[in-house]
Amino acid sequence: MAITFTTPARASFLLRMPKLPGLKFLAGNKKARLALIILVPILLLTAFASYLPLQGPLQTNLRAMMQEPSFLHPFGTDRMGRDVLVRTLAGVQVSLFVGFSVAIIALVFGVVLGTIAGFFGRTVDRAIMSVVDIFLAFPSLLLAIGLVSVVGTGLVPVILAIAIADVPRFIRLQRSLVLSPRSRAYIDAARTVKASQWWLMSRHIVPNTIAPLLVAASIAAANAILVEASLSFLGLGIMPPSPSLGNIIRDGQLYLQQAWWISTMPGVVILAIALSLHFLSDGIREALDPRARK
Amino acid sequence: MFTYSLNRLLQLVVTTLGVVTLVFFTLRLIPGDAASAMAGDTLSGEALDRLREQMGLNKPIWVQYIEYLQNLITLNFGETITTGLSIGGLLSKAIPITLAIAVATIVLTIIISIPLGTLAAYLAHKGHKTLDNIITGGAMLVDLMPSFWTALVFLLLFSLTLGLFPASGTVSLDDPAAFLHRIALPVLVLSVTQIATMARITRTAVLEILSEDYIRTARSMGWSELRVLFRHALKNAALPIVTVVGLSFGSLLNGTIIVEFIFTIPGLGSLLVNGINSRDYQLVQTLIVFYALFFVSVNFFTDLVYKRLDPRVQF
Amino acid sequence: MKTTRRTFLTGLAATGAAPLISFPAKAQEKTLRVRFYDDLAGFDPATIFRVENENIAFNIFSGLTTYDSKTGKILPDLAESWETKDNITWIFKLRRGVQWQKGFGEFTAADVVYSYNRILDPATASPYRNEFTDVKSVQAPDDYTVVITLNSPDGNFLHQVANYHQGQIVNKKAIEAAGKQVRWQPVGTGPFYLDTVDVTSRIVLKRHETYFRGPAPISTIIFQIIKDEATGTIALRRGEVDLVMRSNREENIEILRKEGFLMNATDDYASAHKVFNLSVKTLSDVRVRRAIAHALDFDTIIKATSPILQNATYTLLMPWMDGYTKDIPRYPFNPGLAKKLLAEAGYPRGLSFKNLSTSAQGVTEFQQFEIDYLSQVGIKMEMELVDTPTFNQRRNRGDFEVTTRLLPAVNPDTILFSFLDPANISPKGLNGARYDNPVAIETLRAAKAEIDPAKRKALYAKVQQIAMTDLPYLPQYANGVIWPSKKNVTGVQPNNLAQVNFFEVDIK
Repeated sequence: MAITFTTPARASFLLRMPKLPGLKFLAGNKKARLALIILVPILLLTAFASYLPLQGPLQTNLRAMMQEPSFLHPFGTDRMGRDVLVRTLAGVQVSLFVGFSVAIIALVFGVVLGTIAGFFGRTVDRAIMSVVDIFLAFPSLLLAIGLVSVVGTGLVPVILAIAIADVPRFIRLQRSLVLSPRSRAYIDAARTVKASQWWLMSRHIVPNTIAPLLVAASIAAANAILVEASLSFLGLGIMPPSPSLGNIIRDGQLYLQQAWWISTMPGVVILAIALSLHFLSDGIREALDPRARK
Repeated sequence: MFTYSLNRLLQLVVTTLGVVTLVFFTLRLIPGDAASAMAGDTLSGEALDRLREQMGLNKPIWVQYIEYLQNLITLNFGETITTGLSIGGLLSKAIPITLAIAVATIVLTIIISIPLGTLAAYLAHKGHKTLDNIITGGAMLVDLMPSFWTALVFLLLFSLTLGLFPASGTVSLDDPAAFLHRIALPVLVLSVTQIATMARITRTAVLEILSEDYIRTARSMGWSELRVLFRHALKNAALPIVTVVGLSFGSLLNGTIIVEFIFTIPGLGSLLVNGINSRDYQLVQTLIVFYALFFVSVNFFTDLVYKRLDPRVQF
Repeated sequence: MKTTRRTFLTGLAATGAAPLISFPAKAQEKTLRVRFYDDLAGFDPATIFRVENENIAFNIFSGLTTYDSKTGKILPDLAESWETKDNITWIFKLRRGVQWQKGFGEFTAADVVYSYNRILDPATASPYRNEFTDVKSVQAPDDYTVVITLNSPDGNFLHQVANYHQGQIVNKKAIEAAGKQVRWQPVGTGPFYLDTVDVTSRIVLKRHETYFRGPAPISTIIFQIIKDEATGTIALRRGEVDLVMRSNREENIEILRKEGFLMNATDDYASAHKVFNLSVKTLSDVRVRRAIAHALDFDTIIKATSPILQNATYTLLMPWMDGYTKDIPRYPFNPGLAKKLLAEAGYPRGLSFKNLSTSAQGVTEFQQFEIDYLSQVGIKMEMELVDTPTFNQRRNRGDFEVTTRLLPAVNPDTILFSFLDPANISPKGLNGARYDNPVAIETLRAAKAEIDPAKRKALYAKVQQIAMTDLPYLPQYANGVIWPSKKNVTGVQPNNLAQVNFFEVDIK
């Protein structure tokens, strides 16, 4: 028990082993579809931002400082005359990179260490889990703050700092999935036919855990984007001029009264992304767990 | 139950020792040190070395570690490097304040989120999709807003425009009414996120119970909807809700750091940010250990409560 | 207030010469609430650092001299008068009947001897000991005379004994009574004494009723610690505080100014300079340094990034300093000339340099503009961002190609010797450029020793002319300081140390 995510109990359903019908179901799920409708255009815009006829994200323009949203600048401009839309798109790039990197790191380490712990049990399990317990003893933002203050700020340290808080949670999740009755049955069956351990793990145990892990990963990605924003606020995140959604919002909120758009526009985008990642995870969950489909 | 508690307690001790060791050594990997961080622009060369010696930073690291462990066990946290004040004294002032904020947040959260979540579940159960979606969607939206953003909007709205709550001022437990008035805004900001989370969990839990057989039975016996909802459904949904209250302490502690900074509340979070800014090892390591200990203990008690409420739970 | 009426009366009786202030409304109790913005680190003059803490100490302690808040001129403080014939032997006549705070009795010359020897004592580990390296001896021939003898002539010595850092006079008994807690139990002779401190929330100062200039108009000052700038601004707009100590963000200042708050300000408090490491091959060529200067349009950059708080500046010294001159070579914005100079130096296709700075703020808006401007003449300014302690370490070691340093000081010698003296070449001191021009340092030494004011001024002007010709340091901008307040708060005048003398402040 006690798997702590952003909202801990959200993860509790993961302990019920779902069937794995592949990922085809996504297209058939309403929430997942909505999520994709929001995410895909943002992703495309971000990917092709540099090909659009827009000024560069760092390019300043002293004649167009703090302009309201207009046709020319749909999100307005900031204090240095930079286009907020362009900066937001560049920020989305960075933020998504942070989100997905964290999710991938957490996923990889979580699967490997969690499977080892669950599968081998005994001393290995105890050793891994006591280290996990130590890391779980820190609230996640605290751990990130502590690490960033040691390693320094910047893209890579921030990703590592956030991921380190997530890895132990994924290890725990994966371990509990491996230890679930369904996996147990597989293990016992395979043992009776003397299958190799590697074959057993890669063919039967890990695939069974992928869907719930994906659910957790999309929540972790959304969470990472928000944690980066908090770190940026405390001056410990990704530093200007490289725009992350977090630092654009932080800088912009100082002008909330004079130029609301500087921080509100990227704020809306961050919300849209996080929200759709949550919908995506809900979609996966509902598709897998008929009990939740109501 | 007893063996379980004992085992869990032992685990707690091992984890704590691990935390202490990890924190101590990690903080010493910092490039530069407290002395050079303190010196800033003004010092260099010899003067800096003298400062370092004065701070005890030139002792071998394992000597510093052993001394640190000894002091922790005897609850002697020493003095901060930069200010020379007793850390124990600082903690004893900061802890009640942070604790009061945390407790107030939890109380406010429970009062608002449980009826809200139950209502949403009821609406969903009765097929009122739109209303349910508004509540759930709203909760999710609020949940995702960065707290530093909410904090500033609340400051501008409740403090500057409406003039309801102060933005700054003394924080003292001596005058409970003034104290509550002062911490109202930070608690509100923190609660908003917590309420969103808790309402969604309550909704899910209650919704699940509502479709159980015995609820149908209760209904068929002609009991009022309210009674069914609050006497039976909510009572049975209590288990996951209690767990979440315990577990959300982690995110609550995260939240206090930022909120204390913005509203200048002299609690643990403010001390931590001060300590990190001035690279005060002594202070930061004590605080992080304290946070961790706090968090681990809450988890420990949550587990015990859970175990008590539901004897089926296997650990 | 423990210093009872009796001690006060004896103090008054002994004063004689002190201004006899009658108290029309002795019972006037006024409280001023001030936003304080940084961590507290204590108020022991020997170890104090950071300007906010220094501002508290400035109001608790006194020096032999002090500064006029508006003009920056040196004024008598605990010393009534002084004389020197050779800039080596300084004789100070002390004010009589000055009372210590908290009932520590009367101030005498012995206190001055104790205070200055305490700074000089290596055991105190005062970072300001270097300020007194010229001091040979401090003697007290009688209770009201102090004679300080220097090793070499110093025409700016009155700055060293001002109410700042090493110049502040402490009380032996109080220091010994406080023991390890000395930085939290300051006892001085200034207009306010420290009542209570809570390091994470507030500091309370109370009026020193027997202050030698008479009691201050304000009876209690509460410094409320509010770190977040936005919160601090809201607190002032809501009237939770009367005065904001140093508002640092243009956008908040703009709002406050529009709403009619007073903008109590001092311009040109200290200037920031680009430091060129002359041991780097490209930068060792003066034509390259001048090209960089011509390529940067600081006036425009300042107008864009910080029009209220910053000013353009063209020399090492601030306009209000002794020895400041306008008559120096300037490098107006001229990209064509910059390109030409680069070509002459052998870099027709441009060059690049690394700029060391702290990652705490990332690449600042100011630096982004610099990068923009330099790229237009083919110079690539690469940013090297490191965390603050590493930054401080590397900058002090001189481990950089180009960096920035802002050195607040009142004494022109502090800036000139730090930057230009070969004895201070990093890592020994702050001469990060590794500038070594025998003519410059000899002229500077002569200026410091010179007794004739006109000659002195000419010598200081010459030093600045040489420095700005060689250009090891390029002035970027001068910072101002603004303390916004409510309209009814009068007399808030930040001085050249960015400090406010609260004795002059009143609430109408």
